[in-house]
Amino acid sequence: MRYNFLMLVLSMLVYSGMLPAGQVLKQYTVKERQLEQVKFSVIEELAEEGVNSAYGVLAKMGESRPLINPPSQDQLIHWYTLSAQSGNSSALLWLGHYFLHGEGNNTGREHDALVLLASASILGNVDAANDLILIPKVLGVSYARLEEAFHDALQRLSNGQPIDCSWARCSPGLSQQPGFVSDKVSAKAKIFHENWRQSGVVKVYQYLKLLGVEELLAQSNSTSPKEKIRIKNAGKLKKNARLAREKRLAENPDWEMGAYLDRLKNRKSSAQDALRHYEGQDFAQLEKDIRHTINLINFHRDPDAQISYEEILQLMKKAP
Amino acid sequence: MIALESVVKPKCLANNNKIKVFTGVFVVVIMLFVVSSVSAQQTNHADKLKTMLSDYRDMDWSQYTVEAVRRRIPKKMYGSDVESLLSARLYFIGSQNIQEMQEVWQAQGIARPKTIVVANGVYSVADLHRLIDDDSVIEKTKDDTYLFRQPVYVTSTASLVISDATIRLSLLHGVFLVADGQLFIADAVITSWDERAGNEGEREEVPANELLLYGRQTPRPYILMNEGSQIYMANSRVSGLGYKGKRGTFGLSISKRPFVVTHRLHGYIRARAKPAGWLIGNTFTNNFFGFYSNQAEDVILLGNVYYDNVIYNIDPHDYSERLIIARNLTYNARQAHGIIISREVNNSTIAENLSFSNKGSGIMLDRNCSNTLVYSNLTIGNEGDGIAVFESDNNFVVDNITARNVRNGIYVRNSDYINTKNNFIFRNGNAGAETAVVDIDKLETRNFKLDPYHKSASALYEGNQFDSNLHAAMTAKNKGVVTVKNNKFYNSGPIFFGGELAPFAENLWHQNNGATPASEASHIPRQPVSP
Repeated sequence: MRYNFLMLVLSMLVYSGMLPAGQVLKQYTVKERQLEQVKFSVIEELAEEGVNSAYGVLAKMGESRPLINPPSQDQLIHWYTLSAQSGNSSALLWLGHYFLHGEGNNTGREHDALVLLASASILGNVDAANDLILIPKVLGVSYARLEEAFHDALQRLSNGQPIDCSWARCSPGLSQQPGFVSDKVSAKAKIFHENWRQSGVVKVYQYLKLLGVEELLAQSNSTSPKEKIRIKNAGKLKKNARLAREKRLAENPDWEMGAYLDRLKNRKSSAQDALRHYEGQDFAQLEKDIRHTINLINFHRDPDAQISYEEILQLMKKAP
Repeated sequence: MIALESVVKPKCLANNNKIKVFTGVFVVVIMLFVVSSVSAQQTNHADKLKTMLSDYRDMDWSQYTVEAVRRRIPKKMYGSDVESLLSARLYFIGSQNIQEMQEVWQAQGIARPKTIVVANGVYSVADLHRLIDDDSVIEKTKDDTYLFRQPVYVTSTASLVISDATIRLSLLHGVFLVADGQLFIADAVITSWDERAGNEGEREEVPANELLLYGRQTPRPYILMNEGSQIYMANSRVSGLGYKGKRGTFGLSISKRPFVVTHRLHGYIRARAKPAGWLIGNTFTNNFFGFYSNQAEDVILLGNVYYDNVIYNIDPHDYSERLIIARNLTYNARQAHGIIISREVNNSTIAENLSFSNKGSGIMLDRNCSNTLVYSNLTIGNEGDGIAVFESDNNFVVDNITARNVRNGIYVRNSDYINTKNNFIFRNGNAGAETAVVDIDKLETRNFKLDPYHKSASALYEGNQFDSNLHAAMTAKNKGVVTVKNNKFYNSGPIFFGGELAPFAENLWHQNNGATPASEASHIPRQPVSP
């Protein structure tokens, strides 16, 4: 009784729109929650042990699969920052976009964002290089600001610092850990600078276009296996349904649907015959209204593209 | 034991009585709530119709002319940020669409497909030709005729003006035009182009029942307006475009994707406003769809001619809002309807259109569209119904002429609160108006989570004129509810009231003529039943 009463109240609230149905119905299974929790803990441990990219993965998980206790935006930014501090170019890329979007308490940090993206591309992230090519076009950021950001990023990376800890919430202990890679970061920056110099291209924007072309093409040409299966299955399901229908019709022509379609067809042709009989007098009766609507349509058309009643009448009469 | 019973039992009884009284009160409250909300809905309906009609009638039509669009076209062109970039870089303009086009690019031996990216400025087609300066990419074939062999992407920082020009989008090179910015098109022709045949290219033969299956057609050129974009188009012709692809590849489409949480460039674009546009006095023919929209807002389609498009002539879809589809001519949609709005396209107006000889219905409201005003249209000689309202509650069908359609003049299916007023319903092949509940649970093509429906239908028919409909003036099936008021009936078929209405013909006749007042209660639909 109590349960029924509760359900009645809940359904009334949902029905009246006071409570979104999703809040009542959206429940995850216990297993799903447990599995997510285990994955989360494993990666958290790896991060604490000093695996460079683990904080980045943690943040990505928290961002895209908030099944359990969704982390706050500040927490996500902090994880990305720690991962970026270790020289993870993907984390630099995501962090750069966070700042560019002005999320959390980070509005008006366009320059810092561009520096982060530039750092990611200098450390070999093709996606960051690609985004930097497109940001001036899509967001209207000036090319001069982009050049400026690149110079700052190169300078910082040459000093072995992937991120500016004067404003970012870095972890002071992280640089003492064995996995920390300041030498590698500065080496990569030097290689980038050298290659740029050798390419003979003056503007860094032009140089970016030469980077990672093969990787991008490889990405775009490969459909993920999951997607392939989905496409294949969708096609297969539709094909099977069609074949089953055809088979049923072939086996039993009196099958209900077949008979129904026949009836529909017969009705249609008999209706068309009858309508044809009255064609002349019907169009005469409707002429005034058709002319009126054509006049309204022509009001919005160019004088050279007007339509005439006679033309329309011919088309109407041509119809089966 | 006895003592215990005497102590406990009265308490239990008292509790039971309390529960019964409480439940009774609760049920009465709920009933009052339902009845008051229904009567409020009826009052709201009349007010809403009044407002919608006066809004439409008060429109200043002089600002929606070809000349008005021409005046909007920017006169000053500037900018030089036009370059050809690898298409693979543009992951955010629709990766699935790019993926589909790979088929054409590979067939043409284009290993590194590129797209012309137009940014930071206002450009004419001549500007693009000059800035790209490569005839293998954009070729000027005649005066003001340009053949594009690479797709074009207009970013949100740019506008493209196509005026007094003919644009041919190469079929063989897999060309499309996608815009996040503004597109101005006036006095122009945009077609697909088969260089070998020297025409817009034959469509491949695909069986009718496979036309809407994904992956069955070779991609063709298309125009797609994305999030935040705007299109102003007048006195132009668009033909030969579109195919069944994943998103907005149907011809000319205005489309916003669902917002996703992502922090690369998708995020900026998908967070932008819904796209909008004016299409005035244009002609659309031989496209897969004449017009398609998804989550568009305030789009105005006026004075356009749509004919011979493969599936639909006009098809605003998914959550588009406040559209005005008025004074258009749509005929001969080869597979389906002249004008269809589908999946929660709300608060829109379909008015003063002439829709005839389409393979499906003249006008259709489908899948939970509400607050639509279907006003003063002419639907004549369509192979389906004149005006069909499918699974869509709270709509108004007013002052239309629906004649000589092969099926019904007006067909209301699984829809409640349909207000049909002052229509002239003349010589339709089946009934003048049919109100029916149809079980579509087994419809293979329908996703009922996305498009739920209820098994009830109800309509108010007031002040309509039913004349010479072949089977009956009015019919109802499977417990469709009708209320009739001041309608005029002439010559219709063998009987005025057919189907389930036949036994109640006398009552309906009296109700219609006011002998017994049209009971508002008879218009109250049953509670919806989910499939």
